[in-house]
Amino acid sequence: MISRFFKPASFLLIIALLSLSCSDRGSYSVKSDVDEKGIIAGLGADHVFDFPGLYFQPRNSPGMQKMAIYAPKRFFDQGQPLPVLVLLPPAFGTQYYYFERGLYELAEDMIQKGEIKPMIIVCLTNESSFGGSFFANSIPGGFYDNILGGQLLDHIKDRLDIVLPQTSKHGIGGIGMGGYGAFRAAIKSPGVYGSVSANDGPLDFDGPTGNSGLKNLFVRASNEPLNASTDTVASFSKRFRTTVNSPIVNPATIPLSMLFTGGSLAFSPNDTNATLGTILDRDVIINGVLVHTRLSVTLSSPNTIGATASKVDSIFSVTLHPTSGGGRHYFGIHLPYDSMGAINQPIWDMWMDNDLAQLHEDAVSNKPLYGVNIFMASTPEAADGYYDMTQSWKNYLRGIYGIGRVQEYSYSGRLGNPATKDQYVNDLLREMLMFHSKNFQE
Amino acid sequence: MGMIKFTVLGLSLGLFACLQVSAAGFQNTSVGATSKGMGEAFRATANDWTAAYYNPAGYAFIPDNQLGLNWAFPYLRHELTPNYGYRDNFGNRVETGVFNDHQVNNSHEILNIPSAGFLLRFPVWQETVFGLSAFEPFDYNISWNLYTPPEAYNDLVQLNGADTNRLDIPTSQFSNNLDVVAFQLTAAREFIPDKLSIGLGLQLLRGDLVFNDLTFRNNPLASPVSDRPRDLVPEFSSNDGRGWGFGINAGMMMKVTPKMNVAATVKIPFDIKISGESTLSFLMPRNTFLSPQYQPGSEEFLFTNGSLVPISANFETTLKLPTSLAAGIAYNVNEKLNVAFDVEYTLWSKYNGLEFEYADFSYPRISEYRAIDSTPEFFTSDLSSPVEWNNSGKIMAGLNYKLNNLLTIMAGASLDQSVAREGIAVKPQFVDTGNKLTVNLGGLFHLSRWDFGLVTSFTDFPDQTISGFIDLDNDGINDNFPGTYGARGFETIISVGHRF
Repeated sequence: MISRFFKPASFLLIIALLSLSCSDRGSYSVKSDVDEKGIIAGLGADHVFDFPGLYFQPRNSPGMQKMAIYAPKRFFDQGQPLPVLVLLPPAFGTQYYYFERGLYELAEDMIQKGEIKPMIIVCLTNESSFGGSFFANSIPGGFYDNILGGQLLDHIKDRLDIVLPQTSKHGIGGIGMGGYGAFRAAIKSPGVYGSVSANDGPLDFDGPTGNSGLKNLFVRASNEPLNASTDTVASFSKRFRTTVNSPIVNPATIPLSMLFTGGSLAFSPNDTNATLGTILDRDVIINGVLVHTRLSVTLSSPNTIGATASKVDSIFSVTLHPTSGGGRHYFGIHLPYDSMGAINQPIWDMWMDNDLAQLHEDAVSNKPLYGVNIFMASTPEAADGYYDMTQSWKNYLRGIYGIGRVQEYSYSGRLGNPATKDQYVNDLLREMLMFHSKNFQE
Repeated sequence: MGMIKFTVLGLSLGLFACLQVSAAGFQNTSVGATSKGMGEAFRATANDWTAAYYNPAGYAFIPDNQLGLNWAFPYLRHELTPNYGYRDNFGNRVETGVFNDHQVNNSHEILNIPSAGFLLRFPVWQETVFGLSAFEPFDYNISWNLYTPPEAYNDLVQLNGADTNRLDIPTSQFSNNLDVVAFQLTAAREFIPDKLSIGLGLQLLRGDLVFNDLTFRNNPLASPVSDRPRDLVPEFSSNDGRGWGFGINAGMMMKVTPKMNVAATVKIPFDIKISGESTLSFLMPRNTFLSPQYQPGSEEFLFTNGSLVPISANFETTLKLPTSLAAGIAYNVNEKLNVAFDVEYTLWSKYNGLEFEYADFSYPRISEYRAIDSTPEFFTSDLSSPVEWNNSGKIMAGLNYKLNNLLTIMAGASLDQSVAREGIAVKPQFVDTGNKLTVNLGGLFHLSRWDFGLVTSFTDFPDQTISGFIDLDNDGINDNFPGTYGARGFETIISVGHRF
């Protein structure tokens, strides 16, 4: 009797337990394996090229343009021709600016997932003494119109030999001041870049009203504190000499002063038409690259702005070669505002000559950005009025090229971590890479 | 015909009652095969040792001494498709490394919950039935693996332990293993012979808690160290503790007619202070470009070198357990068929989550971790897992039918109102997606003085989508886990009982 009921009961029990044990649970570790990572990020991240246009930058004696280059190793090793994206950092950014914010890992991940095409990404450093010189064109600031207008890509093509030659395969982008540089390069050198991306930056110097933009920063800049340990005399020019000469100056305490100093080196240097030459006294090899080292310069036919209410003398100096008289030549600048923060109109006009809208109107080509796809990221939380400047520039471009040509990406920070400056670069990079990748495919 | 009317009326009243009240949480429903088979509508039947749990008054009407034992094998088959990302003002999602948009299941585990008890008649105070039993009035066990950091945050992390040069982060990141065991001494007697009985159970409660959580803390350093995606530092907390408490379980049962019983019960568990050991592991950002610029021992170095900082501490928390009130009715239609209907109302609003208070911190005294001392508010802050639950109601209906002297079959169903029906602070550690319907089916095999039970049940949960973050205690840390939850529960109970 017992066995008669034990058997079916045992059978039912086993069936019930097995039915629970054998069900399909699916996967609960979607990212169980991290991606394999190569030893070196493509070409590594410390490349130095010799550009004559930078010979007169302060503290850049060899005339070097430091850059970090990312290339997807697998494609690079196969010799597969790739598109090129040039990324310009904001003020104070080095060639590692984007790498510090995850560029390598992001690019590797997105390429592996097929979210973007493989591409070479060239990251430049900004001018180092003042945190940036707007990637513009001047003797002391550097001749970036030439560098970004073709010299850089030529260097990359010569060195790597896997760069696709078509304009549509070349993109340029930047954040903050780098965004200005990216647009400037595309405007000044039509046909070099097929796509431009930028985040909030000084893209409209006088703002949407004509009386805002960078102008709104003059008073703040003039009130920035001096370095207490070195500045006992609160002189106007002292502030800026301190900026250059004292390595202990913290950019965080006088960021606007440094911004305007760098900008003045680019847009309103005291030396305007001097003809400068270099004496290349020796060659050195830096990181495996032959670099012509300048020991002195020649100077002829100097032409200067002269005295103004906002002139700062002797920002830095260079040693002149005996053939041009020997001694040292002192470079000065003219700020667009005086010690009280009031505008210096003639100097400001020189700045406005470099405003993107003005550059666009002055371009030889009627529509220098014709055929160029544009991506602009923008957040109302951006500091220093960059949001309004960016919106103004965006509206200007859309008025000329249409809404479809100028893509906008709006974003903000999260609670407690606003997007005032660099906080969300990693997220923006994702959007920028996807934008350029899409354009590289067209 | 009269019975049908009665049943319909009872069910209607019950459903109405359910609409009027609000009641589940982490209550265990797996004590006893017969009771489970009847959908837990057992308070007015209560004719085996599990009456200690459902209605102690039932002991008084049990003619035999009894010994019983049962094992429940529940398992939760839950799904979660996370949507855990901070949304900015334009709807863009800021990713954190949570497996967003992927359907993830909780860890596969069939649990084992034993319970046992016996009851004996003693000639004390005329005749009183005493019992001693051990069961779990509260139990919850679930574990999830929902996170791995973005590559740009820390590319050394692995989840599979394959590479000794890489970092292993916990795979049981969101988990909750909560057990409350009641050791109950029960006494019951008839106050009106064959009419009214009252029973009282005094409980010694033992609480065991293993609670793992993942908390994102704001990186306290400035840019560029704290730039995305290194703005949020994950803290893996693992708390393993235990404590003791007391509880009361009382009930009455009245034989209204020879065929009909009614019952009422109250369960009052008191708070349990849980204390134990914690491991707080901080996965630091790894930034190979910034880290070489900083001195070991500095905050900047600590927040860029990508280590997994282990901090040990002791913790204390209070487990607030809810009081519940219940009533039931049972009707013997004939000698073979017994039908029952119960309602229960549980005061879950008393439970407001867990607050972990930490003390006695320690960590390896190496130069790399020296900066921990200069940022104590980051590394040693208390953690909490608050909830905002509602009281909830439950209706239960069931029957048992004695086929013959060898086999009784049970069937039942219950409708359990969600405690988190407003969708506030839903987390993977407590998945309560809505009102739950449970159906049960089983049989009891009678062999001489032995009874062998087998019951299986299925619980259906509705899907629930939680959007956006909520910070209930305003500590700057999110208290919910947005995503789409799906859930189902399966349970099998086997039992053995002996009458003597």
